[in-house]
Amino acid sequence: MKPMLLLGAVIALLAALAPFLSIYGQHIFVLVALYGAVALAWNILGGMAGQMSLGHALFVGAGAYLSTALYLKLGVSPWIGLVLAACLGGALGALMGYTVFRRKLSGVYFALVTLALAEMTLHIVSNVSALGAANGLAIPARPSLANLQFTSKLGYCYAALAVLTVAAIVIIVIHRTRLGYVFLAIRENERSAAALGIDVVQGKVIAAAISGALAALVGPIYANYVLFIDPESVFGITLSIDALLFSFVGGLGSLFGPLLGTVVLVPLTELLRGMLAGRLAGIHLIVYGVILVLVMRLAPRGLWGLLSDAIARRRA
Amino acid sequence: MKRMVGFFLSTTVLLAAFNTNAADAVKVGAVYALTGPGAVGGGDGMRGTELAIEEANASGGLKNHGGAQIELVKGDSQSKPVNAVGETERLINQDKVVLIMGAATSNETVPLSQVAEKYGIPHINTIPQQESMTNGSLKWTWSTTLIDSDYVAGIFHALDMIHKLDPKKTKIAVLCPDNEYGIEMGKQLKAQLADRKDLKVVSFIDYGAAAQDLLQPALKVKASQPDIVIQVGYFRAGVLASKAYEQLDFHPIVIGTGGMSGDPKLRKEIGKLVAWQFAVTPFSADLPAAQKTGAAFEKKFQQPLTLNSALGYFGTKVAIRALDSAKSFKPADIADALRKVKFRKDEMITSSDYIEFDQNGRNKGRDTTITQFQGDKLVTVWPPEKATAKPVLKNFNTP
Repeated sequence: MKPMLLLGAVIALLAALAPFLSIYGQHIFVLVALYGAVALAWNILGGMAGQMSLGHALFVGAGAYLSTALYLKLGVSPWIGLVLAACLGGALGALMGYTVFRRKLSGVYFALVTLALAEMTLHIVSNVSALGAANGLAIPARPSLANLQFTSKLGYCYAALAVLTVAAIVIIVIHRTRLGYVFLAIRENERSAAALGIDVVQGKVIAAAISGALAALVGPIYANYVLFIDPESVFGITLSIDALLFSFVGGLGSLFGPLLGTVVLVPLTELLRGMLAGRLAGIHLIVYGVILVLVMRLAPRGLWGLLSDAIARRRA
Repeated sequence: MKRMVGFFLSTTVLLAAFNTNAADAVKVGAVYALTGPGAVGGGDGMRGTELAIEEANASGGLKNHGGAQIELVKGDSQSKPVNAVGETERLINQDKVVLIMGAATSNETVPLSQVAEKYGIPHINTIPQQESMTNGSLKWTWSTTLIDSDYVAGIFHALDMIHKLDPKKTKIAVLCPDNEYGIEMGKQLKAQLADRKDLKVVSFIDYGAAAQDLLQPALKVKASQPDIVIQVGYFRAGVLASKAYEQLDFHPIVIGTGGMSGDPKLRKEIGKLVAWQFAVTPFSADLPAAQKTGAAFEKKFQQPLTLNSALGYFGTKVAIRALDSAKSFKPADIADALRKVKFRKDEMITSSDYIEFDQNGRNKGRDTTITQFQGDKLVTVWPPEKATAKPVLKNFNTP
């Protein structure tokens, strides 16, 4: 089946499923879709182009803060904020990529630079009183479509699903065009790619810009869902590590492995916390850790690899 | 495929082993950080809540409701706002709690209160002091604790107390964390210190809330040669700051916020270094009403009743009293009971004078006490009517 058709079918299925979930189930749905979109965005730069980022929270946070500040200070609709957030994320990604890749920083150095940029932004925002400083910004609950706030969780499910769909479509388009081959060539061997006439720096900058724009799209939806943002929750390293973890567990570089990782790990985290958190502090995280080790042991190429192998064996 | 089936089966078995249900009772929820960076404070808050509910159940449950027992449903925010939302959603929609308590920090509690507001479920804020939660914007949140400006007022009471003992102590240094708590406190302290012509601020230093040591900020503070250091922060920072002062041979008078200089666990952690430090706190363990609770807490958890434990405990006591006096367990009836709930002076285990909420859900009887470690004891030294000992003006780490 063609990827776009398959994606359409999956999205339609998810959209049809959402109304039948419990409210808590819909909360998990929103989280899966939002984290899934961040993981897919991360995968463009980290998986497809092979540039490991430890600072993707920078884009999510920038998007969340831009849209929220515009709404609270100037009354700009978060829908416009959403578009501006994507532009800002893209610009930040391009700027970061241009400054870093032009100086041939890659691998662990690139990862550290991205981490440092996200942390620097966290501390700068923590001291800007117009952005609520370290107290963060609370968004007043005024449910209306214009405010990107919904009376029911279902609205958030569809908003988050829409962002996820955009990320998935972009991934498929990249995969099917020359750009996908450029990213692949850069990931596999930068020198060979350059010898083939590929502008490596430009390729990486484009990957960072697309990745940043998509990750930033998540910010406004997250902010209007939680109705509160503070520097630590949207710029903090935890979010960046989550994106990386979901991609690793799902299958680094594979088209939808990061999404599969999110689909498995986010509900698992919620389920474990709901069932175990009250019994012994930290037990749910220990069980989560054991399950992660199991996944790594049983599926070194990620869950996507495990699934692909199983399908290939069945066909053989 | 076999491996995948095996993985899912083992996960299911693992989960099923923990999944048991308690008997029917009135369910109340508590969301605290039980894991993550806020686990120390959140765990303390949860333990206080547990004790209050255990005591209420042991003494016959909710007497006005036929002795109904209270079942505590716990949620772990993992120190993240989005999880505070998720856990509150779970407790309200899945576990059907009638009231919710928590959390330990304002970045978890603000979104938690928004969820409670959305569903119209009463929420008791037990620990964080962010003023925005009780400024009238929330109709379903009641706060049994203090607000930032109360701590600042308490710090100035401590400065005045010291000034009376030795008028020459006028040079002040302030040490604040770079998190939401520290920045807000720092802002208020700066503004009020600027108005005091009798005091001179010689340095105002930020430290990293997640820093592994405080040597560098402590060195800057020492270089400014203050008589008094005002230190804002929690338990961990209290340990690090004291160790840094010791290493730098620095001996100021220390006034800290409750968690940083007045936590009973500090004595065990840093020994004599905690001696003579003053703490501005919403809880003094030596207040008569608090001693019984402290003993019960120590018996149950084999650790002293800390500030967050006491605040969690007391907030839960208020919730229980409101539940008991409510006409029914419908949210509107519980809210009505909370508006009328009162605690007299002799029933208070915290430093506040009494409990009575204003129309915004803020306690009208808020107050702080000042404690000091003297020998092996943590004693209350201010206000005079609550003091169990006189303040002793001695510098840090001096005999």
